[in-house]
Amino acid sequence: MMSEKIISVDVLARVEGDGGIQVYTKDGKVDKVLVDIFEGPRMIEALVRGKTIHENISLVARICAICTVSHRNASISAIEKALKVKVPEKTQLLRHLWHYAEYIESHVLHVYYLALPDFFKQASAIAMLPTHTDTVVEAVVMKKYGTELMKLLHGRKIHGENALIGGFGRVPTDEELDYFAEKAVEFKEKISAFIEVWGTLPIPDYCERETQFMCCNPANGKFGFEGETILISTGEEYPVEDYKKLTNERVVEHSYAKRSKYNDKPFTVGALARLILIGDRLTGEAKEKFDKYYNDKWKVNPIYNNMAQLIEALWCFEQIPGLIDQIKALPDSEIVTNYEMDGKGTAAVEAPRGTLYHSYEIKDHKIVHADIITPTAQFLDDVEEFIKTAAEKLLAEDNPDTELQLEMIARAYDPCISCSCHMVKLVKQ
Amino acid sequence: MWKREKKPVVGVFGFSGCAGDQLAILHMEDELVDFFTSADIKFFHMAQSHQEVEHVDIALVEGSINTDKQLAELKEIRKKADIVVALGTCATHGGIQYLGDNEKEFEERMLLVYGKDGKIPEFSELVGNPIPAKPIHKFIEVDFSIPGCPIAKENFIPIYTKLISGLKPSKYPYPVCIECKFQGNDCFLLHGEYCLGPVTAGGCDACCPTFGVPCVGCFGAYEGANFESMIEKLIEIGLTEEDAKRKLMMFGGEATELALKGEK
Ligand code: SF4
Ligand code: SF4
Ligand code: SF4
Repeated sequence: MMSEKIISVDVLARVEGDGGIQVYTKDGKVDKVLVDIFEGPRMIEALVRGKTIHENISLVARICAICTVSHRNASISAIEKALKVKVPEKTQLLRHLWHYAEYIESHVLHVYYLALPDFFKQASAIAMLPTHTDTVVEAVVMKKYGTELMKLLHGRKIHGENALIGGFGRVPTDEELDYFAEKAVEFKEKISAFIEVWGTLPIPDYCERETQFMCCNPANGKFGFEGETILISTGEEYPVEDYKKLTNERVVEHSYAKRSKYNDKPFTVGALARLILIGDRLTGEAKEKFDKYYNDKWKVNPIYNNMAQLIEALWCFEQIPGLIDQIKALPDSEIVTNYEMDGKGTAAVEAPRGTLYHSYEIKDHKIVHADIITPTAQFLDDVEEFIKTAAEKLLAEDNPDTELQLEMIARAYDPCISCSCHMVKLVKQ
Repeated sequence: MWKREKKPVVGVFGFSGCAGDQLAILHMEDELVDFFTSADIKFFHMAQSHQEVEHVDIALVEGSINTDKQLAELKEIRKKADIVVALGTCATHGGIQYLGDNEKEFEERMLLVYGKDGKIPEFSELVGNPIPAKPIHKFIEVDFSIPGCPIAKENFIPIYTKLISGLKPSKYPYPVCIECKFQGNDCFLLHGEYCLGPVTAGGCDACCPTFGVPCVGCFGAYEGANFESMIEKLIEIGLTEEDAKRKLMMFGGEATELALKGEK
């Protein structure tokens, strides 16, 4: 008898944004997988047209709350490139610090609050409070470090206005910075210990398949979160200006987030991609952990993204004290206000979830054309492919936890589709 | 000791926006455990799974409505909730994506972002049909509004505490300027620099001017705003009328749009 059914995760919980998963099966085989994004169309690229460059950076930050820094940062960088703004070293270093703060906020939120509960079959981090009090409290204080550091640099925890084209409105004092330098040492120990705990968790292996990876190539062979070129796991490298060739955005009917493919194949961006491509450039304890835990499985199993994020968060904590010393040694500088009126510029930064492109055409300091490609738009095709692989395997073995397992894959990617629940249904037709 | 018989059931729901108001709740690290234990949080997609909900005492609703599917869900929430609270400027005013109702302009934007071969593609019923973004009070009765892009905890916590205690919260009555004065800041406008504090709903403790950067108006229009004199002032310091209006509309939503048209 022919049977058709749909495994439907109507709304994905514990991700940022509104999306669901539909797995259609026919005769016990997976027919197709759709990750549908029903977050409504906000059409940011259309609404920033005609706005000034300064208005633009406030608006585009609102694309995503968790990645507010990455959006504002990418947008400022692209505009500064377009208008040939040269900012002093202190500003550049403060921007690194600002970006690391977001990595800590975002990675801790994702691994501890959003991903960890799955491994204990719990509904939320808060539900784990009675049984795993120390871990939950540690997560809360560590995330607070990240959000407070974001607040120090951009004025609010979310969507602050202090980071401007040409510099920062208010520059933090040495005393304020010292506090974060000291605390970073403390949290470095904590997250390092947690990596050892995470290393003992069983990583499901039902979703293994080969794919491609991409990330920014930071200058001077260093590890970091921005670059002028994009590295691809095929061995190719392109300038960020070629981003359209790399992403080939297209519209699909089941999603208001656009989709990307490279060489007609899906690809992955984010912490996992970065560590696969440039993880050997890590330093310090982060490098030690990477050497200890990295293996070939990372290239075929997206669940390792969680571990990759933890290692990056550790790296950020390790960088912060030295970076703060460098910042303190430099004199404060005025915001750069003298620059060209027209230009075109593209910048890529690594948002916590992957490469983020902002590209602008500017005339008289107003936006004529904007193109923004988010990490989630790039990796959703790959999420669908991994879910398909997993669903085939899980269905074949009649796994009772199929829905949860499929959600774990989607959540491991840490998609940023702004948010929703766990009304998983297995619909037999 | 005073003891509630039953914790109120609360749901946190999100529509189109950046999820920043939900995240602002998760970013209240010091109050987080209280938030999750002082009420029975039955529904909060961003933070927890395994939830189905028949009835909530209080629904906190984030985001604007921009698909027919969201509209149907919003109406569902209204049916299930005793009290509906709009959370954040997208829900209260429409947010940055509020660009009015003009159908032709809406189609042009859709074409620009999603168009292929000069046509807007069809979207499947899984995601719903697109409509111009609007604040939630355009579609359902809203009992209370908490603006902010995102909401500020200084403003949210007192209101929320009243809500879960069965008390009626009162509307925050001041614009950003009043808070700015309390902070003892020097005023941008007096130095000939732009700032939207006078026409912007307060609640953020004037955090941007306190940081040395102007208020861009992210809490949306202040109810008692005098837009005419704001525009005059902005023109006086060197903006064109068009610039002034565009800045006012960034977060102003429908309320500002109507006021600027003289229809309020
Ligand atoms: S009001 Fe602002 S913070 Fe809240 S969802 Fe909308 S854009 Fe995000
Ligand atoms: S700086 Fe802005 S918010 Fe403060 S008093 Fe002046 S106009 Fe009002
Ligand atoms: S000062 Fe203005 S822009 Fe800043 S948070 Fe308050 S309302 Fe928003």
